[in-house]
Amino acid sequence: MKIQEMSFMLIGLVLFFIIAGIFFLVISNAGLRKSAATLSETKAISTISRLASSPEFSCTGSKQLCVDTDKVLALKQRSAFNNYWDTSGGLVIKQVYPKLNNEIECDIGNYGTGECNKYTLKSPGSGFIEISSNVILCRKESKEGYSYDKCELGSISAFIEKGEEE
Amino acid sequence: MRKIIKSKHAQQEIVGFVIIIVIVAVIGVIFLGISLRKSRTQDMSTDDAEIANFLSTSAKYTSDCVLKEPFYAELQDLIAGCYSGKMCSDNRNSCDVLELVYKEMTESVWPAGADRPIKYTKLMIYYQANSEDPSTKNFIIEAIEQGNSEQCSARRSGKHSQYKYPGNLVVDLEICSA
Repeated sequence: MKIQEMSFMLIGLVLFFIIAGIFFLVISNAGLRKSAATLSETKAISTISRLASSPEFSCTGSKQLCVDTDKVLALKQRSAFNNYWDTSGGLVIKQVYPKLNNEIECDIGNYGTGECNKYTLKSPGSGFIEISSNVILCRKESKEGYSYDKCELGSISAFIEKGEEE
Repeated sequence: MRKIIKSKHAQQEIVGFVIIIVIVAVIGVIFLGISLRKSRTQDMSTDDAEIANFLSTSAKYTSDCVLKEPFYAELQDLIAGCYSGKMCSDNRNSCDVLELVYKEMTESVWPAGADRPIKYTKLMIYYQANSEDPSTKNFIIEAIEQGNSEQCSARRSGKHSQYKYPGNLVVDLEICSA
């Protein structure tokens, strides 16, 4: 009889700890998901930062996360660069602010007029994950004989294969 | 007589079992409370990388205000100009230009509203003489708000600072989603 009581007691205790363990796992798993999201966000920014600081894109001077749109426009017209970028699924640079109502691709005709807001360096394919981050888009302009950087807020979107971001 | 003793023993064991469970449950709740409070304070103190990145890049935006001829001022220069009470060359107040640009910028990058994933945004620009002491905050423009803060459930924030003797000019953005 005593053995029976003790076994009931042990079963009860084991069940209690199992339930408590499951409860703890669910809570810690939620935290883990949040840190995974933060990590992938940081990784996206570092990937974009690496792209923005490449000599093909970066502005002259010490500006961080700065893309020279004069260079981008020149590169866009060279088909030899189509497969140069290490983002397999696509690469698009967009102007975020000042905002235009529609997305208008930039070319030599409308560049610098404020009437375009998109540079597609590699058209995004389907089935890829988009990672994007804010950058500053600068171009050379002149005023009263002085040259200065006209900078606008933009974003780089890189389209990568699932798993590449891990 | 034997039966009474037996049932008393059983009662004692049940009471013991209940006491053990209550003690373990109380300890569990205390641990849970401590760990949840820790993670909440970590959330509030850590800068969100995406927001901090937005603030640092937006600081380099070229405005249409000329503070020092002949060049247009960057947003970070406008913040310093507004703090010093400077005017643009076309007689606009640098603080008004700063407020307008940041308002439009946050609306286009982080649109907030009841029918959007982001429910509320609040952008504050202030001078902080001592970064350790939040009471030394001196707001240079009114907070720029969008949406309704009552619908918030998840909060994240980021800051960007620029040095201005003896403290820092800080742009602080808080974003809430459902």
